[in-house]
Amino acid sequence: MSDPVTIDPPQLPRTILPGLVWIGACTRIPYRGEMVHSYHAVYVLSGTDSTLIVDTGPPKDWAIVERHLDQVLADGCPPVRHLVPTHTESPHCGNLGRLMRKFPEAEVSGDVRDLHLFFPGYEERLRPRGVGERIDLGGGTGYEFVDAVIRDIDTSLWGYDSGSGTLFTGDGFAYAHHHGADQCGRLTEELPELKIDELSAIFAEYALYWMRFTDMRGHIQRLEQLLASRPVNVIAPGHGSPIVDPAVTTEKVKAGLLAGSDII
Amino acid sequence: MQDAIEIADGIHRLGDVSPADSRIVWTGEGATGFAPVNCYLVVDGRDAVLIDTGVAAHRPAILHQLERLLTDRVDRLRIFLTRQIEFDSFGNAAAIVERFPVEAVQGHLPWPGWLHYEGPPGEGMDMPIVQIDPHAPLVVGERELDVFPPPLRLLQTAWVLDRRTGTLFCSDAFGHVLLDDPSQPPVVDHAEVSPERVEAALLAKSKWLMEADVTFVLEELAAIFEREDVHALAPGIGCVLRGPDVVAKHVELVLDAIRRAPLGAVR
Repeated sequence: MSDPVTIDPPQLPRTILPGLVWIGACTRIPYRGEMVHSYHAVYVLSGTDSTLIVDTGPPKDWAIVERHLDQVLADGCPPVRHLVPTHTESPHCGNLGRLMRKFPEAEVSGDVRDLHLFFPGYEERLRPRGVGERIDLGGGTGYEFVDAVIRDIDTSLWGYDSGSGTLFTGDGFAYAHHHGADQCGRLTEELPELKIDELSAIFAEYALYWMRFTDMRGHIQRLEQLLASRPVNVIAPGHGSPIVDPAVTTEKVKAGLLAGSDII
Repeated sequence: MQDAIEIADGIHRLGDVSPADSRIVWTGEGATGFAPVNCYLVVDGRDAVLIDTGVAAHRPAILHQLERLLTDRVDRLRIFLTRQIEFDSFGNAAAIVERFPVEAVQGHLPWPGWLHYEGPPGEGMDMPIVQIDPHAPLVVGERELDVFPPPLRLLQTAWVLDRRTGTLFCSDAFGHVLLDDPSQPPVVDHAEVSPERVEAALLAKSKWLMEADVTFVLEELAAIFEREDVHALAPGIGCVLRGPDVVAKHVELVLDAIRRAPLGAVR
């Protein structure tokens, strides 16, 4: 019997740019009388020397995440030496223990506070990293920790790879998509009918409760400053469809952030 | 290893303590001493509900405490998760499901395969989650506990109120009282803390208050304590605060910290 909740999108694993692969599962969520989908995305970023995995998916997605990872590794990439959860809640680090066992050489980097309580026995592989620190993966690819403009848990950190110009945004740029239109595994720009503002509201309700009490203009200003500070070619969110035309799509996301408190 | 403590009639605090150093987020900047991480077993007759399950690092203590409490006194055990996507809420659920005859697990997201996060997925270590009904009480034996979303929260959260004993299970709020010594009981009838300590613990979890209009949160939180006769605050992190006077005092401390939070952003 197929899983009524978790979906293995047939388009994944999907190479977004050379050295950047999108994997993971999709989850059905009932929302206001219809069924929408949300990603728990995992990204595999490879340089010439080593590979880094951004986020892990929740425990329920493990079989799919592991199968996708094995496919990516079978296609050939440097050894996995770095695991980077964007923050310490289950959808983003729920499979961290399994990944540490699968890749015994890998270290966990980021704001790793609390993880020693969640994954006892792995303390020696936790590497605290802060904003501005960078993990070099070789060949110009590297993961720089940047401030999380949109966040929930205080351990949130975003990441940036200067080689590909990819911004990894964790809970930022989160919006659902529809299944009926075969939207799973598609980039945002491949879905012109996607109503980003409306589909952002579900996350405001589920995960970003604080948005309804907050003037989001300050967050938008900080987002604009971040995007202006470095070339961004790809935005790789944890729950939304990846973005390959940030200049156009970010405007819709900003409108969604401003509308979020009205929609919920 | 700490023993379970009965904090009110039929309500047992389970868990352990960890050093409140810079490796822990929840306790806030400048914390010292030891942080209790709690879950609670509510027993009424032969029916029991475990509210949250603690962190994996405390698993031996929690399994031991449950073993001693359940024995043959209870023949129905359920688990209730106040914050399903956080590890201090669901962290030991799979281990408890594997060890004890758990009848059901309740949480916000009815997704199978959520609980077991260590090792390969295994039979008997997971179970479907029954979605919390925000309009239905949590019935334990002959008591009906109120379940509601609190105004002070970060993620999807449920607070649970047992009117029979006046115990409010307040999940990740009111976690600002720590222990100097890990052997001290994590239940206090009197606690002196500075406003700065309360503020640090509050903002460790709810930093969003610094940029928010806090009117709704203040009014709704105050209304809960005006409406209800709360005799004990039973948080997921930090000491249990027991007694109407200590509850009133710490509610006021938290309300004050919320009032000051947006000013912090300006400072």
